[in-house]
Amino acid sequence: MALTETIPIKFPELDVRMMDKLVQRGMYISRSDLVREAAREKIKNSMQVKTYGDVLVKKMKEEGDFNKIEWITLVNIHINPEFDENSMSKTEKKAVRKLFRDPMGLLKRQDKRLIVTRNGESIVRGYIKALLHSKMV
Amino acid sequence: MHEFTEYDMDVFCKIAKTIVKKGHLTFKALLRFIGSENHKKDLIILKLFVQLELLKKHRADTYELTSKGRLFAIDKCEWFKQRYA
Repeated sequence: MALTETIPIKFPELDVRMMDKLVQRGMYISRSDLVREAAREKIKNSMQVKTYGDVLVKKMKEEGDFNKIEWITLVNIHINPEFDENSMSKTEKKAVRKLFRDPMGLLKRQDKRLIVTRNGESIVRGYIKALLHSKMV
Repeated sequence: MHEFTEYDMDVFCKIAKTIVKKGHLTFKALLRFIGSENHKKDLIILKLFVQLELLKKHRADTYELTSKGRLFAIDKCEWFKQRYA
């Protein structure tokens, strides 16, 4: 098998003109150099996302699921029993009020303490699992 | 706190998997893809998921998972558990 292969590709005229501009500016040695580099980058990006697990985590990152203050606060309440309403910031208090209103009942108050319900625990576990996976992707 | 039956969870997991694989879909398409045998009963369950904010409207008549729905599915559903072990 040959080490290199020549493949003919058709490009719209405008793309070719833009390529030539970049070559003239000295950013690439030739049109081929530019096309090779662009193709490599595309291949790298496409190969990174492999499984449905990776696809979902990528979507969660894009949608900002990991930065949602409700989930961060819920995780904090679950893993840190000392974390009560007195030590919360204004945004965290707002998030707690939102969690109380949740139709699935993620959070409840018991003897002035905040308790994460079973449904809430599921959300916490899901958040941690997805976050760990996102760090590996 | 809302308690889910085993059947509810079964339907939810099938729906979550279908949405992750195929993207946002209409109720009709979701029921077809999960192989629903009782459309009337399952449609009520789907509407319950919307009320519980596990599913949300994407466009006029298509639905997708909410942030909460995604996290819930990752913890509860076997198909997701295998991918996030």
